[in-house]
Amino acid sequence: MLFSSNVFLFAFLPSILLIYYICPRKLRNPVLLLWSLVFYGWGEPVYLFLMIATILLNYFFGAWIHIRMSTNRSAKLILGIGVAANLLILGFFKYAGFFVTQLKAVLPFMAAVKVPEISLPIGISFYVFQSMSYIIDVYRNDAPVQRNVLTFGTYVTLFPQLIAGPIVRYADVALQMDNRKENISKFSSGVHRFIIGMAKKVLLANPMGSLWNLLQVQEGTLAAWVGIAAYTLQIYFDFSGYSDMAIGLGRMFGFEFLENFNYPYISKTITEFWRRWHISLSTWFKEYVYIPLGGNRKGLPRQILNLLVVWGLTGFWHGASWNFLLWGLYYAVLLIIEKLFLLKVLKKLPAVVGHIYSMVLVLFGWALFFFEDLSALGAFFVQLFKPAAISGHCGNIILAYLPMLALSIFAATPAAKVIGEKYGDKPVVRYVKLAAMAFLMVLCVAALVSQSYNPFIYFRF
Amino acid sequence: MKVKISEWITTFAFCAFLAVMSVLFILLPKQEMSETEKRNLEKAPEFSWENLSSGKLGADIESYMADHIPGRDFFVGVHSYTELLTGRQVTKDIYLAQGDRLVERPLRWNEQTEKNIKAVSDLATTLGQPVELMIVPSAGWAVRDSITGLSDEYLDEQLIEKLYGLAGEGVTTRDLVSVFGAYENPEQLYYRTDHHWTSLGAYTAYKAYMEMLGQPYTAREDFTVQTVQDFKGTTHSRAALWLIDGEPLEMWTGSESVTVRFGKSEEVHNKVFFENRLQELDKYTVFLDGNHDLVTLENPDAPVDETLLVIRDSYSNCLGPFLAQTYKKVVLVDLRYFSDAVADYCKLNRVDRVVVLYSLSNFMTDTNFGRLYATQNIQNLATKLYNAEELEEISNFEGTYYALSGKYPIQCSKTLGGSYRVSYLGEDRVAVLWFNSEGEKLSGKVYVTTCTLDDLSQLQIGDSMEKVKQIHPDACFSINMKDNGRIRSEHYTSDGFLVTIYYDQNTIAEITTELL
Repeated sequence: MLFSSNVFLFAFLPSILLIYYICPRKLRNPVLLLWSLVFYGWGEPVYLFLMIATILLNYFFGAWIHIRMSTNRSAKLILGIGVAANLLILGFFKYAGFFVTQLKAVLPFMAAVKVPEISLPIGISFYVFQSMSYIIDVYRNDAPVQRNVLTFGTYVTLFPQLIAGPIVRYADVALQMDNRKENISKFSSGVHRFIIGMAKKVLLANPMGSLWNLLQVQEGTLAAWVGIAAYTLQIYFDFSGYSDMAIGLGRMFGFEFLENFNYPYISKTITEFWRRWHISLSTWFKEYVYIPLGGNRKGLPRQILNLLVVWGLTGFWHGASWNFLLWGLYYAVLLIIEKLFLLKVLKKLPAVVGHIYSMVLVLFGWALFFFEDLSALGAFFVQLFKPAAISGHCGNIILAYLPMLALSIFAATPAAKVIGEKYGDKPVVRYVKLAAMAFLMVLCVAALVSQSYNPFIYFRF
Repeated sequence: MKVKISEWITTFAFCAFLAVMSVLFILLPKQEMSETEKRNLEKAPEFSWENLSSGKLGADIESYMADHIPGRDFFVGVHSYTELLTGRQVTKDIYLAQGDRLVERPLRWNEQTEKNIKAVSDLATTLGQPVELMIVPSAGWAVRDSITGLSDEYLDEQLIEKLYGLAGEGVTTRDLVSVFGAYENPEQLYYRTDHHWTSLGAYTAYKAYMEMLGQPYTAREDFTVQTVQDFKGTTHSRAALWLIDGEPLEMWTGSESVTVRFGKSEEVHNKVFFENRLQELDKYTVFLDGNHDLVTLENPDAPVDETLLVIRDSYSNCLGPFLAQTYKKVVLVDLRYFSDAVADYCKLNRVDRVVVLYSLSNFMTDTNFGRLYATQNIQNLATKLYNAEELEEISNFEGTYYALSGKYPIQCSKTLGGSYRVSYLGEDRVAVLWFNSEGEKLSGKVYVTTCTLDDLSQLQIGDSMEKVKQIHPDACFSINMKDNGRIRSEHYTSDGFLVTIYYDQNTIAEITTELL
């Protein structure tokens, strides 16, 4: 189920809120678990079994690790098996098809093997990573073991962040699972956050996506630049909007999740960009891969290797295709170059240089991310750099979207937040905000409902 | 910390909004039809374990909720105005022009247009008789200088000129662009909220055409005009800018003695305006009862004793009665519903003059011109070969005829007794889908085409079923319950035919062959 759907807004959310708040505290986690399972199984009920298996598997490994450690025995092997089991699940459902296809290309005797057709279980990359964080945190004594399997299930399936993150590490919410306070202030800030997120997704990301779709078939240099800029904005608003909705929904149920995005497009360096973009994922890789590999503590050559490994994996985590790997390595190279000398150089230059430098590289990055087909990617880069005029129609498309582009760029910066803070916490500001939220909510619902508006044109002849 | 009032309001308002919407959704009666969209709304999904486990139930519930959400029209309107006010109109299908006019976006040359003009030229050759061609420019062209905001250029004049230039020798082109262009207020010739021409527009075209032919015509004053208020047409629906009002729709009555017959029916109607239709969603159907394959207008009082055959789109629903002022017999043929070859019809019936009369938009996009001179099969119609995977996806397509066409342009469609058969061609197979007259999908399947019509033509009545299976091992056998449980087999041939064989006790009882 998607947050930006009628079923979620007008059936799922009202019913879970009602049931959650009339239930005694004891029953609230099980209720959340149950509804999260409905939420998850809505599109593909088959994968509920996989979800339940993942929960049980990690609950069991967490308990086993805990028992071994509390009797002063080593749990390293068990942790290893647990992590491997999780990776196996992810590997099978996400990467099997890709690897078989690749092997078939190089190994002639594989020709007879059929490429497995597995549809990707929604959110698997997120919940497998969350489950892994749990057993690792228990192993590291960063978090207590969770004895109640229902509470643990609630953590893994928690519907706000189930499908698209943020990846909530167990250590960060361990206490909230059993002791959290729901109150009006939290709920109302959650509502704000949820509406902002939905507005990002429905009112900004979707139009930017339409613009990118319209421009992809147009020729001319400007079409390519505006197009990739639109995609850059789409992917940010889509993803950060989803994170905002997740954080907002979390608050409505008393949870506090960590921030996932921090205005990434105002970065002056790529290093800064990755501190601001999809923070929960970078943190996960840093905590569970980069630092265990030795991080920056084992000399420069080892650090470079570690960076390549982490970013290769980060890229690959986004999808089973070469271009994602390429995208990850692209960032690894940029980060290494910045570490070696570029950061120092950039610091001395005016800020605007850093902004332009980062933004252009990020644009190229999203091109790598978008085009799964490398020859299409090549053609796109040719279009970016070969001077060619655009058609009048294409010019009209771009002009038509200028207001939305400007609005999107404005919304991608902290400008609105800064202005808001300047006026402080006066009542009038609060009511203006409230009115703005109501307005955005109506616009969002309007956009959602419109998607189904489909005049039957066959009668028109 | 003290809870602020604004926080209470936020919480309460949000919860109340969700609650009211969901309670109203449950309580309000569900509409069957959408008046603005002119389509059937989704019906309540049926629960079954199969639907549930495949995830189809979830998708169905979402479509059902989306179609019946309280205040749907309001929200759709809000969204349309948001898009209009943020300047995105130029990327939409409908433009707003001054004076609350809603017009379709400009047209661009395409391959279909070239095919269609060639088909018209071929018709002239086949008939051995001149064919006239008159194309009506679009409503957007008439108001091209007063479009609000950005607009792509309206090239109707150039497009029609190019079209006429491509017409073959046997085609006489009739210029309506300069007639309409010279009209003082060309926008009056079209509706504000619909893509059709007004009665005034149709009359202007009628008068100009009769002048070109040197035939008499009925003067404007001699018509009695009856007006219906608040007509909201197709562009109004599509734009969803609800603040725009409806407009009057005029019915011009001239000679009272015009009679109308539809299709092959013998029933004679003594009227050209079907006022019962004004109660319906699409009021334009008041003109000649909407779309019919064949409409025959007869007027014994008309001055010219000739038969005029008009190959036409719905613009002629309004024009037909005007033409019947001059001609004793006017036959209107709609290629989308007419399943015989028009050339054959002309040869079998006495036709003095043939005119192809279309709006530019429909002429450029109609895919049925193949029916003019000879019925065409899928091999001639299809311009694209689909692969097996795509065909499978097409056959499983869930949606209306129109929705399918949006995803996979329909090139081969046949009308059979009130339903449509749509086929898509592949290398060695075809996907065949059935739709009812409402455009709702009935079924869809992929058939392997491993034999030709020649292979099957060796079969004779009395041959065994075994022989059929030998010739065409991939044949699809079924038992037709409606037909007393008779067994039949369907053979889609690689050369574009559908051969159906009926059996009686495992021997062939009947063979039918038709074009796919």
